[in-house]
Amino acid sequence: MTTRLAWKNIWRNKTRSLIFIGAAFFGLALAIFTINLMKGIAAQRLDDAVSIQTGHLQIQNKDFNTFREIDQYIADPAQVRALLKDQPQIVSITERMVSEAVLTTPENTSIAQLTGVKPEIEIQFSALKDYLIGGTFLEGDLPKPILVSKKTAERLKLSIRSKVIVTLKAVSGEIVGGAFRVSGIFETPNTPYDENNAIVKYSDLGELSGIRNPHEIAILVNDRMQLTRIEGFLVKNLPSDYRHYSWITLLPQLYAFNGFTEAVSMLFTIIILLGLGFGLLNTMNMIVQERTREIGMLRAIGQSKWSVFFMLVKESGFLMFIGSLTGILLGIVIVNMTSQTGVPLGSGFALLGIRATIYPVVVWPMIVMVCVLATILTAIISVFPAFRALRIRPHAALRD
Amino acid sequence: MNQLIKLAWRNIWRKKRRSVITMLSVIFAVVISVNFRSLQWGAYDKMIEAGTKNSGYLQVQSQDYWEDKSINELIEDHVNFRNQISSVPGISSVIPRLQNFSLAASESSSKGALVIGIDPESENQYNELNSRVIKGSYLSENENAVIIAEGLSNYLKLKVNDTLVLVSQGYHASIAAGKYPIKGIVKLPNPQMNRMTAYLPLTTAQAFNGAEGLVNAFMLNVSDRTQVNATQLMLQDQLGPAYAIMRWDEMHPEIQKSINTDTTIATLLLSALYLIVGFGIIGTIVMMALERKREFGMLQAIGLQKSQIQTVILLESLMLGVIGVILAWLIAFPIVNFMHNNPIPLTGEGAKSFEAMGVEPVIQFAIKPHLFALMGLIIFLIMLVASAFPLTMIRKLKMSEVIK
Amino acid sequence: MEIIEIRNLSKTYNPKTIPVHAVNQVNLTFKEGEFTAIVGASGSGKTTLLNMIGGIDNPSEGEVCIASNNLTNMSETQKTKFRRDHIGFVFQSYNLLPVLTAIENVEFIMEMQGRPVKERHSRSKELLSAICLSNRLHSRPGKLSGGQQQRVAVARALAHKPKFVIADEPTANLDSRSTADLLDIMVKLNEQEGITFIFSTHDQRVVDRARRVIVFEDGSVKEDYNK
Repeated sequence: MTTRLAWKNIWRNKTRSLIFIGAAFFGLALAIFTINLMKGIAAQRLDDAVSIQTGHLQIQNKDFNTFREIDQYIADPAQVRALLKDQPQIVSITERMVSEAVLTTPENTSIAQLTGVKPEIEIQFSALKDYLIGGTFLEGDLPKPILVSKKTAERLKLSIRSKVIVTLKAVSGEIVGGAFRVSGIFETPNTPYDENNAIVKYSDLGELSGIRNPHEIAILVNDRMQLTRIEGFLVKNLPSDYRHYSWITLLPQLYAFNGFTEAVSMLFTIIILLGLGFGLLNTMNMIVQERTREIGMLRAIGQSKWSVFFMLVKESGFLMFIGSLTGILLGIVIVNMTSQTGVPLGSGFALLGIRATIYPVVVWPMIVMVCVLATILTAIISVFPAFRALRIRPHAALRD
Repeated sequence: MNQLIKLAWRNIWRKKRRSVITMLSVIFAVVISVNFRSLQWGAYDKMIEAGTKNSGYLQVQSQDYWEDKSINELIEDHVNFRNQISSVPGISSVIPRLQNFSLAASESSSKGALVIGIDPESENQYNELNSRVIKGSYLSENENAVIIAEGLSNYLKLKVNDTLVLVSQGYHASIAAGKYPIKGIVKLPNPQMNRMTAYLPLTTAQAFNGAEGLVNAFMLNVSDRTQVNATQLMLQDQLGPAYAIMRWDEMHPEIQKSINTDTTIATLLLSALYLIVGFGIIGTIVMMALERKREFGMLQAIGLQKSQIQTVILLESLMLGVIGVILAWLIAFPIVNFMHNNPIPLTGEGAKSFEAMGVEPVIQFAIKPHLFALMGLIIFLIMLVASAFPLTMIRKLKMSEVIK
Repeated sequence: MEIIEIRNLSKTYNPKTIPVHAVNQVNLTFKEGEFTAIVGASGSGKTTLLNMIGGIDNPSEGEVCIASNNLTNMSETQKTKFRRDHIGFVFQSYNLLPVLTAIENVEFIMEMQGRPVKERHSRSKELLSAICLSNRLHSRPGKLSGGQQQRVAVARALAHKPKFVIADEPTANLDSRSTADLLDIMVKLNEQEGITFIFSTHDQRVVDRARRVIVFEDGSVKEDYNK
């Protein structure tokens, strides 16, 4: 009974109810969109960095991460491969060789971390192929192909097919050099990465530096949540000569950025719901004030005070429910629409490792969080004016 | 007019609870948004500071240096030229630099390095490089010695007093090579710089590169950061088109872009907050107007012009807004001020994300008067928008229909 | 002397569809100092007539002249100023500003006119004592009874010495005791100040106190007599 009465009551003052519902509707829709956009940015930066740079998990010689010497390679990669073969969550595995190098052209000198990759595997593994702005991914008939960034290409005055001298320290301790030809030029959104990296074929780098084994074996999984399980498996089974690192250790700043994004989403959800709380408090207050006589009448004809109390709580509930639910739905619709079309952020954001177009994705746990917080808040806020109504006595109806 | 002000003032206290809640929502929105943005601006300032420590707020370079950073694009370091630069008002110091990429080697290993020739004294005055020395000591002028960054020393396994070998291509394709005793090791806040930097005294670097009397840039410090654009223009005028004058935000576009992304997200989030609070305010003012239709009719009947009634309404909403904003300022300022004077050091992963950008890992609010003004202005505009409904209602009001 | 002249005054609602003649071809004059009751059932058109005399509503036809100012030709702004300076109003309810005290309400129009403080104070004190509310000068309307509020409204209507006062059913919400008190005061002030009163009512006790009675029916004057 009070439920039906509460429902009818909120439509008695349509303007006021609609304004409140409008606040919840537009405010939450914008908030949901922004929070998902922010999460989309964080996720995209992470996915790119993980696939291009580290993988979700990486196995190295136990000293390599500290000293990065050319002879600290994985002695028996076949053993590691065999170990990983039975892990169902693993989507892709790539082996890479890494060396510091100096790149020289007649025009200029630059330094880079040179990564030797197996193109046919790497092209599956890494998102770098998406960022090629010219040439091919180490494919074609060029002898000793190299991928350089647009930045490096500009600094060294390189174009496709031009020659660059690579100098590095071989496993023998000698400084060795070799001529490579530019097979492709990339430009990722991550400028620091671009400034410091070049890619060559695994076999070419091996030949130059005199080694055959990889320095790192990088792994992509299909579900980040499964990482701890795989890590647990590796702790038990990986030979003690090797170490494994998760992306969290290798990309601490992105892990922190993710955490920061979580914190800001949570904080803003609370802030926005509190802001909405003021509106609800005001609306309910006006309702109680206007209806003093009517509530007195309801009490006089025998409605209990708790029944009046819950009628008012239900009114707040309806207002909040209609406003926030439709707002959240609109937010989800916008996110889903933009996840098809993308949100153009402009190419300027490239420097932060952010793609020019972001495809936000609905993060369901966040939506659930918004709903739960909204419910708690409504319950708390509606209680204050409803308590005021408890004090209204039946004779209020008779007062002039 | 006094009469109208009195009326408006009393009217806002007529429904005390409603006005107080409305003001609280204004205070809430302004305090939150001022604090949030002050925190972000604090981080921006730290980023700008970290960036400019290594580049100056302005740099004088040869016209083509920035394009390819070639060792061949150098400018003459002459005392007259330095004077010409420092004669431009707003420039507080002129710091010469000569930098080049080089292969740095020890007995056991080698690595690409950025070798920067510095004038030890003026460099230290500007960015306190001396204070970053963790082992050994700082450089003095003209000596044949090098200080290297911590990461580079670890990689090359070199200690103080060991010898560093540098090999590179010098000025006009000369061979640059030299052996330098390591005088000190510095810990640089930017991890990338910390892995690859070596400092030589300017004259030693000039000798190494075969570029006597030449530098690639003068870093300039300015007395007022907000005037950097004007100073840049004046300097360009003074020096002529043979020189490029770069601003810090041109040299570090990533800082500006990072600030822009952050600002975009913050603007969207705060818009959501202001949207909600704004609707609340609109609701209050619309209800207030609807309840008082008869009063407005009565006032018009007894001889108040519509414009006078509208003034009262406008004053009421502005008073609500102004009181709310002033109280919000009074609350927000001490918080921002406290968080400015008592920065919170970060630890753990959060600290790493700051360090990755070479930024000091602390949370320190910036005191930016424009943030206070901006948030106040937003509330002011919301109040104007909220008043639109009652103002229109009064304009269309037909007395004979509302009074009885 | 005649201060109000009404010629061929008509008000027609819905002229295009189903015309309702609220006021139909009314001709009336009021002299200075008159104390007139317009009597009629509700819906007889008396409120519309009073609104047109007071310049609150516009006639469909005919004209209202007050002290040789033709209201019908005035702009909205001019009319509002004219009402402020020359007409006093008492309504059935919602007369007073709830945020102002009794004395502030009485002073309100004079203050809008920019009269000096001294004049305002002495005039409103004089009136408040005439309506026997000297002890409630600083009470807000919420603290006054309905009858007291209507007395303040009468004082407010007279304060700036208008040419005449229009009161639309001033006693409709009052009990008989308050009605009698209010009428005593209206009669007293009408005599003391010589200000013309025109009020509408359907209450026979009020009619009995009027000196001129106009009986209104279906938008027309049915009877008009002096007692």
